[in-house]
Amino acid sequence: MITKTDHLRLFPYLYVVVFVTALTFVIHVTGLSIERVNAAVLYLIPVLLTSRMWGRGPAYFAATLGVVAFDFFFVPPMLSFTVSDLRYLVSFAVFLFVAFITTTLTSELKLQIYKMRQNEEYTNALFLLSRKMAAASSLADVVAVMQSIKPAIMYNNFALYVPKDEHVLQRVVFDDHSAWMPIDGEEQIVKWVFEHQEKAGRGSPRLSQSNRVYVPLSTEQVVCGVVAYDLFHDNKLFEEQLQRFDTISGVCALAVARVQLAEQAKSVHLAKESERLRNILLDSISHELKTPLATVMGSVTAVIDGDHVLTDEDKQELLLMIREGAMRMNRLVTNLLNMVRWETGMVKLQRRWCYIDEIIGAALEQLKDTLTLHPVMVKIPDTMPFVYIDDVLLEQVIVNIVSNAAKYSQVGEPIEIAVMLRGEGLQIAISDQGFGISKEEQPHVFEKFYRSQNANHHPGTGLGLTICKNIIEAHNGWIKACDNELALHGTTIVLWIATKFQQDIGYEGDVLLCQQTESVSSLLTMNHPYRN
Amino acid sequence: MSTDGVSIVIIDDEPPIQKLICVTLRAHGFKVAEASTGQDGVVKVSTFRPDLVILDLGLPDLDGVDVLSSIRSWSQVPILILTARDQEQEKIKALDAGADDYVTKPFSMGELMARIRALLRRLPIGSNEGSILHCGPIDIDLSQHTVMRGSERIKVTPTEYELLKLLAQNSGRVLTHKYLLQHVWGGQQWQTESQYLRIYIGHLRKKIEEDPTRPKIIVTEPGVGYRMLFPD
Repeated sequence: MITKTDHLRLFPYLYVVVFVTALTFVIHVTGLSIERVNAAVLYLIPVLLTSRMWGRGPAYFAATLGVVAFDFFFVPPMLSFTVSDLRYLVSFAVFLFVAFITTTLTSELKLQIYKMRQNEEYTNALFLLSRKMAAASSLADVVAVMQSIKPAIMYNNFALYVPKDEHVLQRVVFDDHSAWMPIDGEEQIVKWVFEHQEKAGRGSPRLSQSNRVYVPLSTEQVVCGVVAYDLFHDNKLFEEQLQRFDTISGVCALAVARVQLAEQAKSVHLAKESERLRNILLDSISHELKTPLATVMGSVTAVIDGDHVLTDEDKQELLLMIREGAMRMNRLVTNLLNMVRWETGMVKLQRRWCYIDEIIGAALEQLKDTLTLHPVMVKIPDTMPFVYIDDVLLEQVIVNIVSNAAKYSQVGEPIEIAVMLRGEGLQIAISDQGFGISKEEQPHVFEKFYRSQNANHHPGTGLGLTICKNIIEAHNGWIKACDNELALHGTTIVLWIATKFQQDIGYEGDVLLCQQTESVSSLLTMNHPYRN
Repeated sequence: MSTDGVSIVIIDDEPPIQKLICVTLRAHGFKVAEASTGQDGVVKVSTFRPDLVILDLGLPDLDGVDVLSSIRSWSQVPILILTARDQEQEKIKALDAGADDYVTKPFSMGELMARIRALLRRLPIGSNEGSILHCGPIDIDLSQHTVMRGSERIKVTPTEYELLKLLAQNSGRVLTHKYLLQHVWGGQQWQTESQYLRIYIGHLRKKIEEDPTRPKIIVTEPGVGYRMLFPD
């Protein structure tokens, strides 16, 4: 059976036959055959063109066919393979010799051009490789870069092994496209290569029959992994390729070492940071929990043990202290739980169409006990549309900020809440005229457990604003603290959240109840916007 | 309101909370029965036939919502939910399953007592037709379909009137968005229509509240619904 590729391979030979036939015809018709040397030289044309276009095989074929045609048609006796003058045999030999030499030279030139192109591609790939590797910030990046240069370096697949712990090397799994099938005992091979810093696989003494090459990744200081290359079965430029693998592996090694160092530095930093947070958390919790707990226990025991000496007023005062202590503990626990919910990703935004005045109203209602000592002004434009936000979480934000505003200002100092539409979102500014926050501290107040210097005398955990920031950022918004510019002192917290808007719907269709009560029931059924 | 002879069943697995509520309720003159598991609770409710049930959602044996549905399948007794979970979804789930109101732990006794009183005050539907509902400064004349503030008449639309009436008839209780939409608009797609509700509540507040941004009569239960309060 002849396959499609066989067809393609046979085509040049067919062309050669057509070409030589046509040439023979032309020579015959034009009478060039009178001087036989001319005709012989003309038969070199198909040979040269064929070797240039299709390589050696067709060129040799063209040379042979040329000699046969020349002999048959133009060497006496005509139309016969017999040669009357034996000197022609020498001519044939010379012709064939010239043709073969030319073909060989042309083919070699072609191969060299091919190699040069390969080299150029390789140089480009190498350039790309070093540039991309310099930007790689993770092992996945390194693998992605290696994937991208696969065609230029001509290997089928590759795998990157890095040490998982002291004894095991682990393959960096990147994606499904690069399905790598480990050969039997690959783990041991990789480990051996890693430990001995020697290559294995094809082209090296060990596992030379394998179709893979294992190259250790080493820089001057460290050995950081192993790269395994899977080769194509019909690999031609093998020697050059082996050298290239060395070069690529060198670049790769630098990147892997850099990534590993960065990760180490990061984990050290993380460990330090988490230790710092743990300490703050312990300090903060122990202080914030124990203070109210002490109040509660003290007051309770005072009431129980001192029943006969305390007046009713004393008891009432102690009971109020107990309530205050319990509420403080409740706030702390709620904040901590909220923080954990956010950090573990348990909070999902539930956006709904809401009125912002309703949310602010609910927040102020929640704070009514605290706010008896502070006048609150709310400025909301009359034409405020519906906004698409998580009302419950936004209420929590407003409660946290407004209660801070109250906590850090003197009795009687006003709090202002100003709402406006800005761009594709909603802006809320909450201002107090309290102690204020210094410019240096303003960017930090949203950090976890951060307490302003001015706030040290007030109870608090430094979690409230962090939770606000989490909520606002989940809404694709931002929050910042700045000086209250409309007052002599104090702070303004400005927040912006991205939201869709919707104007009032359906209210206009509803008519006011008129004087006649008889028609009410019919109005009730007729004028529901919902039913319209 | 006299509480003598009014009986309440408390279903809660935490002894301190149970004791706290028991002591307080007994001091207020209620008759109290306790249950510490869901199954026991259902049995107690069926044998005692109480006037009110206080049910903790986090029980050791059964899910609180299952207990709720079980009681609801044969009794219309008012059920007040205690929940430590301050997640709105849980509250809404319980309210939709037939709970009448909820109190989130930690709660103050004043709050709990106010909720209990509101539930016990609730009148059977239809019994107050033709009478006048007093909601703090607002009077709703059910026979005349009018809303008055003192001697001044407040003009409301039919939908606003229905909404106000429903809230007033259930004053002190939380009504979920779903409940209000179904009973005022008869809507099925309540999730997409909840803007209507917010618009009408907004307009009602502008008409009856002194400061619509800080409502005292119709308060928002964030994420859950609305509650009409009597300003004390």
